[in-house]
Amino acid sequence: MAINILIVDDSSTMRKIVLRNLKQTGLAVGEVHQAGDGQEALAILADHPVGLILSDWNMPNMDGLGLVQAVRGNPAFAHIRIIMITTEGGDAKVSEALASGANGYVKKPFTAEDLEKQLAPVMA
Amino acid sequence: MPAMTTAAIHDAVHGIFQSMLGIEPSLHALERADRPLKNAGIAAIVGYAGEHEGTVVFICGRSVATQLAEAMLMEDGLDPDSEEVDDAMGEIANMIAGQLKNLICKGGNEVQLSIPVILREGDYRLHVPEYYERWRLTAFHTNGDPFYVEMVSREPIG
Repeated sequence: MAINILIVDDSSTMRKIVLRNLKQTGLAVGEVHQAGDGQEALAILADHPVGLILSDWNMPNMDGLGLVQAVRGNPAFAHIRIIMITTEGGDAKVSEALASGANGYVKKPFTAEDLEKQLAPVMA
Repeated sequence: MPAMTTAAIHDAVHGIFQSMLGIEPSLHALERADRPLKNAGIAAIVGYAGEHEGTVVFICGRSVATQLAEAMLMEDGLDPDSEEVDDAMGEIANMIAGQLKNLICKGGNEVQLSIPVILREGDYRLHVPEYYERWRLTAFHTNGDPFYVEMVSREPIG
């Protein structure tokens, strides 16, 4: 069954790259939505059903961690899987994201294989 | 031994270009630079601050920037003056700065990265305090066109 996706990154270049790599993983991709920051993402989630969020960390207005916390704070979004895709590669950052409710973590630069490795357990 | 060694920086830049652009650049030795490089086309700047402070600048000509953006996006015919090219340059600088950040701090919370700033041509110079070091990595695209990574840091490099 196809999954509706929300890609969140302040870089339009990176949003395109994420989508391209996502399609290469073989995941059945339904509707794709894009947002430039966490606030835009929440606005999209209010109106569109989404099953998977792929989010950067460092963004203006609301960053990726803020988005994870906002999504996990809303029971209506409990079903949504969240994978961080970010240059933030430190152990503390990874732990912080996962403890806040992210389901997976991909460090930039990344390949489709890196993304697939994180997706497999998350989407199982 | 400084964390930002030539080998570590080479690995970081090479990894980004190989995985995200599909390009195998030719990376030359890291050299201390006495004065700033003139902006030959596009400069993408990312700063970092916290327990460590510095700036990473990715600099290249318009033509190279367009080629690199096209490689990242897997698209041809980009307008050299487009936001897409600016954005791609910013993302390259962001990833290089992120890799360098990961070299100098393990946890991640010790240092925060800025959002990329893009400057096109124009007469800018990045001036730094005396106690900072400025290092420059010269690299070449597979077609021979150069691009540069400048690192300004309080930490020893090289």
